[in-house]
Amino acid sequence: MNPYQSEELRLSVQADHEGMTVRFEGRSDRRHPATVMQPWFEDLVPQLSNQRVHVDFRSFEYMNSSSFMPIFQFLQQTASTATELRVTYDGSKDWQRLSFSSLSALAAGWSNFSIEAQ
Amino acid sequence: MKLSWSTKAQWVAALALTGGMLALLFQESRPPNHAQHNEVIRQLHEADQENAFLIQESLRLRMELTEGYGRLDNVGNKLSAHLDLLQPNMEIVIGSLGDSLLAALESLKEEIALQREHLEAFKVTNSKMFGAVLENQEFEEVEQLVLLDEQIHAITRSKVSDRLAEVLSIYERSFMVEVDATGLYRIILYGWSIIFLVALIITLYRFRKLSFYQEQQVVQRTSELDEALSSLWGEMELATRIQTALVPAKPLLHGCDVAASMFPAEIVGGDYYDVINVGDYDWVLIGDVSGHGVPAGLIMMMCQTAVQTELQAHPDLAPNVLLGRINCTLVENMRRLGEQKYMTLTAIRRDPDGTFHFAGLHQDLFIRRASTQKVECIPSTGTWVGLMHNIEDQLPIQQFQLESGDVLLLYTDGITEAKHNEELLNNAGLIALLEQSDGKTAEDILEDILQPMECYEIDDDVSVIVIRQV
Repeated sequence: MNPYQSEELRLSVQADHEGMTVRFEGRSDRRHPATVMQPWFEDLVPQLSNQRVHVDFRSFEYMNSSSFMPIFQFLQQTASTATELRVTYDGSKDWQRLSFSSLSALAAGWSNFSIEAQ
Repeated sequence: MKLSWSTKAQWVAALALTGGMLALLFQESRPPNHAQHNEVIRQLHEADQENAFLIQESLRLRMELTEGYGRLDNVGNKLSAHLDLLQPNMEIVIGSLGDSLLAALESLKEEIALQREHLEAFKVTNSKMFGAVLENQEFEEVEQLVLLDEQIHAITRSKVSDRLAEVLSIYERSFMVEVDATGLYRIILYGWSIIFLVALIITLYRFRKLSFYQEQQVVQRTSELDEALSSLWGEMELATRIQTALVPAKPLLHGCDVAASMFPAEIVGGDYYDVINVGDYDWVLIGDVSGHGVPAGLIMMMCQTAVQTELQAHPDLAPNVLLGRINCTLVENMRRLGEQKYMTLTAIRRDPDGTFHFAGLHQDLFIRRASTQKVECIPSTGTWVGLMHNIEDQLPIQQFQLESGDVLLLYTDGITEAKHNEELLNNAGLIALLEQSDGKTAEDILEDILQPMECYEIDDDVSVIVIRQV
């Protein structure tokens, strides 16, 4: 699947021997980020079905509060179809620590989900 | 733009005329009739061949005439003696050569020394005249004369004159066709041009009227829009005033010096803070609705109302229970609104003994300890509100105490994400500002934090609460 690439944001997916890796890189500070993220997620989610999925936010420099909802929904949908969903983030970034702290609490009921600060 | 039928018809006519004129201009460069033109060319080509033949015929004629004139000189001399026998109405044979042939032979005149006067003398040659001559002349001379007449007949009845006439006719016809065609097309062209110009002038006049009418309509609509916009802005300003009025103007906290400020990034912001004194408890709440603008501002107002309602009824609620109830209200309201938003929210309860209990995930709490002059960072934990039901279990309660001179700083991310030369202020920058607050009042500390922000680029709402333990 082709990556989503804009001036400030890059979303990509890569298959390897461990499964599929989805990477978030750059910044997401559009006023309505869902308009660019959701179409890409809608194409991606079916491909992640029955796969071991790793979503890597470590190179994600910044996202505004409006970006959380589309990402949260993407993770929620992926968690419901993937065999395993693992999220890694950069704990040294204040905004990542807060955002993924909340995600960790929200995802407490997802059986195949794990989140890790690196 | 809506055009009337008459205007449309004029445009169609003008376009048709223009198209016709262009087609005509294009067509004018071509012959009017291919078949006719080809025929003329073919005939001219034949005529050229015939001209070659004519030259040969003329040369032959010259020889014959020269020879005949030689003999005619003698006969003429003899005939001149009998001119009285000639009658004016007698048939002219030699004259039937015609002007065309004579003109064609004009160029040969010098060469063959055609003597017209000799021909004039022999215009009278018919059988009656010969009969009359015969009675008075010798047989030999009459025989010569008859022979000459037959020769001239043979010559004049040859195809030479006919072909010359034919050539002339072909050239004339070709020329006339071209002249006629050019004239016709010029007339059509001029006619259409005039019609087109008239149509164009009428259309431009109509457009001018239409444009004037539309300009008037635009002015009227602009006026209406200005009025509507003014009304809308009035309502937006009212919303701003409502939101501003909902935050405490002079927040009070037992045993504390408090200062607070909120700057929405837009007319209406999504930041929320409140200081509520109810019963034996003081409550401080701070939060931030995702997104910006009116939807975020509405949710902030919902939250403020829900908090006030809950605390007025139950001042001693545990912070996580309060947030759980607020969450239920927000989840349900956002579901009804169809909004996909959430809210970071921390609720802090100050007990009568001075202990602070808090819950809810927002930003880290910064406490500048007077004893160490260092800033202590207490991470907020739990989760955000408005996303899902039943989050109380996800909201652990933490607690802290403030000693005299300690300063608690609460803020929203609008300030930590303020940018200067593309660099975020971040938590570290805010901590550095807070560390310089030794001995200052809450108001001064707030001023010290906000004043440098004038050099920063701020895209989000900014809220700051400074609580200094007296």
